[in-house]
Amino acid sequence: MNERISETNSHSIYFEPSKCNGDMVCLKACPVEAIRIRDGKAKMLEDKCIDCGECVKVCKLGAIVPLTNTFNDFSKFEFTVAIPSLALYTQFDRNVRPRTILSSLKKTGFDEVVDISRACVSVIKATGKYIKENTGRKPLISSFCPTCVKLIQVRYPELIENLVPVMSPFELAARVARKDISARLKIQEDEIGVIYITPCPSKMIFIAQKSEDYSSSFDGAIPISEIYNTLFTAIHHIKGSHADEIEYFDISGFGLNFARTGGLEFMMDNDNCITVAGINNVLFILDEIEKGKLNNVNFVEMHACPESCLGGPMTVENVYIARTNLLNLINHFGETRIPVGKKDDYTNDKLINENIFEHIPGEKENNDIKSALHKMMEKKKIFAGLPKTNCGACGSPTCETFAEDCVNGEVKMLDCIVKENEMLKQRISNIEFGTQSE
Amino acid sequence: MEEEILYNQSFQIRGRDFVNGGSVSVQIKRILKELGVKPEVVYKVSICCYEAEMNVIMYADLGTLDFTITFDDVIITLEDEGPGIENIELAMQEGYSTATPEIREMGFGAGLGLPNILKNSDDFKINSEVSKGTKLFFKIHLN
Repeated sequence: MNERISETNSHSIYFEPSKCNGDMVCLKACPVEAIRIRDGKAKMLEDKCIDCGECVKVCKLGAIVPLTNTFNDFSKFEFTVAIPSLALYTQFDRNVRPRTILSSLKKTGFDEVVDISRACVSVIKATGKYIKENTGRKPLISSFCPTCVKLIQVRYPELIENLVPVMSPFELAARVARKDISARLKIQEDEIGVIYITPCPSKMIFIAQKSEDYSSSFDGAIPISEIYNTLFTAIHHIKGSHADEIEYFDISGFGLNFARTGGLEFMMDNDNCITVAGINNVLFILDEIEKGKLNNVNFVEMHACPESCLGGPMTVENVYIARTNLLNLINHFGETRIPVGKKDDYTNDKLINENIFEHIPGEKENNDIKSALHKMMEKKKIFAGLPKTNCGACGSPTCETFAEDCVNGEVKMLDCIVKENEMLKQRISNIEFGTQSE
Repeated sequence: MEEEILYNQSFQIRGRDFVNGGSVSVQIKRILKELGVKPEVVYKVSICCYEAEMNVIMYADLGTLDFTITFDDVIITLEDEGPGIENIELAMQEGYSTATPEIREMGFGAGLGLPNILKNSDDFKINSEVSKGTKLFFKIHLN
């Protein structure tokens, strides 16, 4: 499946033309203007898409498909480990505790399940330390949301250096789990399938990333929405009469804060941080950082989805209930500070890797300033003549993007229905005028 | 040899206009990004422009920023009408500032503006006449 991503494109979503009827819902929902409707079908501009999944959320036709995995993709592995996002704990009734959920998840067909709340604590410790010791650029930006990272790589490459290069907790948990299981059960590392239970498709980009400097420890990801029904049944089964099958998991209540908006800020206990969630708010804050207005802030916690991962496109429970569920859980476990004196399984691992985030050059990266300038002027000229209604009927989301597409030769001026209408009216009046004069 | 000017645009900056502080440097940045200029260069230009722009807003009455692109460089000149700088040598020192407490309270005036421009540009000139104004010139190589 990872091959599937790199073969077709480097994105975690795929547009299925046979299911698309060309309605403009996705065109208007895309925050980075990366969708066009051509010949009645939506298509993705690969160098613009940031994999936020906003289009997945709004498409009711199932024409935008997340390139995640299903259970069967992992049958080739000797041993399977499921590592769920913390968001999974918030998807059920508030009385269903993480231990029940994890035990039930294992019952649905995994050989082992791993909780990441402890890894979150280690990662936050490392992040907090990195921020305190930072003498370089400010503000530093969190790098745990793959969509935000990709947005910066594609649209704000000059801010890549601001990303905190700390490994994400799910990656850390995966790496440790693979080594641990391999040593404990004498299974080859590559015979272990490590699977992320994900709230969003964009995690697939991190997972598909294999380079010299950085390779993910995951073999794939299954959406929360994909396993939800099976898991729901399993939970009821275990809660009903098999409570003895609920295993013990050492869950950190403090670590659970990682899943909530503002949680990082809270966990690091640094009073000069801000938190931003929701892709449009993220865009706004990145613009502010560009302007230099946040140079005095130490750290910006950034999530593409409202209420961070709880609002992911592949979650099931509505985000407000999920949020309450999470707060209840944090209360239940009752740890409000970094747990002291506990054995930390993760401190020996190298958590910082400066080379994780490369700049992804977009279509525009070039050395030919003169022709780029020519294009820019041409675009300005075309834009000046457009109606600026941003109706989208041409298949480009705004008049400005239409002008850009025009310059790139993808559309013609008369693909603009307002322009076409003007031209037709002109012709009709010419004909009428001609008839009268005869 | 006079370099061929590929693009030129002027911007007005009003003193004390904190609301729009940074907007000129953002416009310049947008243009450079659209042209596919390398991120490192965009970053340097925007830092320099931002500092220069904020200097006008903090200290002067009115400024005109002239932005030029040639084959090899981004060239900025900024002329302002204002109090001028009494001691340029001092102003070029990191941490030296004549900002009022009000400006400092807003998080500006740390005395890093001019040194920052010097650090991030490839060519830098400054002329100033007390109670008339300041003229700033800097250049950043595209490659």
